[in-house]
Amino acid sequence: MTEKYNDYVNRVEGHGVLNINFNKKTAKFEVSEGERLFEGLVLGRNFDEIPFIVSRICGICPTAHYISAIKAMENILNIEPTESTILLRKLMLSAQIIQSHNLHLFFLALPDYLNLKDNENLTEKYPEEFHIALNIKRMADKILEIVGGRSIHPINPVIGGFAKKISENDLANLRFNLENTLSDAEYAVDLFSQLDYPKFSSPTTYLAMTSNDYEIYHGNIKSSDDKIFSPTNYKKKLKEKILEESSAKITYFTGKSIMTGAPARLFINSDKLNLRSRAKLENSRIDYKSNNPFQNNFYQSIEIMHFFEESIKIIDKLLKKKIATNPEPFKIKSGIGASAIEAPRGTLYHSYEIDGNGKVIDADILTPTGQNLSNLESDVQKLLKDIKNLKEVDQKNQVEKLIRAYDPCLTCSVH
Amino acid sequence: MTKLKIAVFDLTDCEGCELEFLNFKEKFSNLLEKVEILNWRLISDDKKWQDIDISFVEGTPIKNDEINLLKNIRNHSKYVVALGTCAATGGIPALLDPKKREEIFKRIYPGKKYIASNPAKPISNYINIDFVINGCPVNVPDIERFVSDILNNKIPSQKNYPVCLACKSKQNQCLLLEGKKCMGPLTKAGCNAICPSFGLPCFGCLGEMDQANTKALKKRFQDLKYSDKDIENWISTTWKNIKDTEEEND
Repeated sequence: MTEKYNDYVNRVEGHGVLNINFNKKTAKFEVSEGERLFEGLVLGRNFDEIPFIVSRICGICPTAHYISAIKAMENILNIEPTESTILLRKLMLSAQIIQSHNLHLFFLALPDYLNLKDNENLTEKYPEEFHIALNIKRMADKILEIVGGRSIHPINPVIGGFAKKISENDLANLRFNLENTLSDAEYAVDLFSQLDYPKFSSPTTYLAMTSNDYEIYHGNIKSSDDKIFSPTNYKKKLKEKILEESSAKITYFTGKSIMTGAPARLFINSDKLNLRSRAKLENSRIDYKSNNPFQNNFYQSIEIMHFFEESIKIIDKLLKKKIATNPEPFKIKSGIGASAIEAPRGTLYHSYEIDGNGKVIDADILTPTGQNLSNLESDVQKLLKDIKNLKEVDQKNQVEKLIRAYDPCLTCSVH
Repeated sequence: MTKLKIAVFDLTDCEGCELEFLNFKEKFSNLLEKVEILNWRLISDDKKWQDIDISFVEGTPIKNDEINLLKNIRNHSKYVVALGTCAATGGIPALLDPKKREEIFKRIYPGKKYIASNPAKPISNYINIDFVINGCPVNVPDIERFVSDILNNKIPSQKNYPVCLACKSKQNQCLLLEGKKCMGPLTKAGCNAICPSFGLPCFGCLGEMDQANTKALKKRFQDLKYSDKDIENWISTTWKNIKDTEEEND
């Protein structure tokens, strides 16, 4: 006997169902994760347990949630971490972006463009590509193991610093390996710049963190229509819509659908990319301002290379001075604090309120995918209209390809 | 030689264990020559259901359709393995008190009428399972050992000893003796005592081992002058109370 269950879209993180009505020419992508209620299950728990708990929102980007929660708690408790601590967190976030992008590009998205059914075929038919993917993955995993304690669900970062000191020797080794694998990252850019992306244009509003660098840790949030706001103000600027048919809340900015993540970061900060990655972007035949969400795959490969270069720069800065990461002392006090960082799929916001005993009394998490879903919602509809002359099965495949190009993390979106 | 036919399924969770499974797949490609993957939604378009030898299931079935999927998995598989702590014990999602779900749902989704999810429970609450590979996330050596045991017709060994044992073998200093709120003595091993190895007390995330002496650890915490509320919170991370809530619901 076979029981009834949903047919979830393949090669996407988390559970979503695509419903196309070919007669009415409508397409709807529905998030069908069950409500996980993380913002509720942290209530009443001690502030220092929160990074540990919220990292379990997502096994693809646990570091992003972990560090966001730490930052928000530090804002409440007025803790200023040392420069070494901040640099090491940036190194972890860089590795997190490389790790997540690499998984998406080679394991989830690439089979769409090589007409493969899965990654198993990639191993056999494209051993070179698979080898590159593994090298990049191992590099990112190694950074997260050395600095964070393990490659999935970090341990070592704590509120105010790091539990265990990271040795200069380990960092120097990482740097050496990064130099050696930079050519793999470059290869990935070449590969993803040559793929045949479907023609599609969907102008939207992009949102990314901005400051003097290609920022992922500090800074304000800037939109492509030149509005700037402070992360502490995010609840006023970004509005979540609750729908009966979706367990993910969909986020809008000034009433409009938005896109965050690699396309937004490039749109807003491309002039701040590291030198070699920037040259790659500028010399490519792909126009990164052409509003084609399929090209997210190429943008993510550019970011992999950028964050390789960035990791080397960060380690150089770390090795110039004595590394000081002992947790800063603090007193528990009540208060509210918010934080933002750049996660692989875009800007991630966390905010908490704690009482005088350090117990959480309110929590709010706003994820990049929640923001991108606003755009994806209208894009699947728009794409279906563009391709209405294709065979039904091809229409479905193309829409699924678009969904995968967005790299949604539905697990995160329903936290 | 006929290959071992396996499938990997993800219910609601962070998908971290699945990624560790992917890490295993890459590291032990020689072992995998003897294995055929029939069904793995995250990385493949194939969805074969015929003659599955082993289904690895991660996550908790918090939606009704996931409970149906789970029953199908049981019906089509020779062995079902709970992959990771969520599947084995309910995991972090089970920290939420089922009695407070309604109230918390209204708080997080104001105005929404219909809740699509049930309390997070171990998969063994719905189907019979054959093995557990514990971990949050599971680690690659444990998966490797399990698969190689099966390939060699051995019954895979199940870990039922506390985190403390791993700590001792690594010669870590005992955090409980230092007065920290370490859950090691209650918690099932499988993580190689990774948190205590960083000087951080065990959180209990792998769930309670059989015959754990909860009373003794509670007393130790009371002697250390921790509040009853804190102690209750910490013990909750080993999901000791999950069985109690099941009985109430039944």
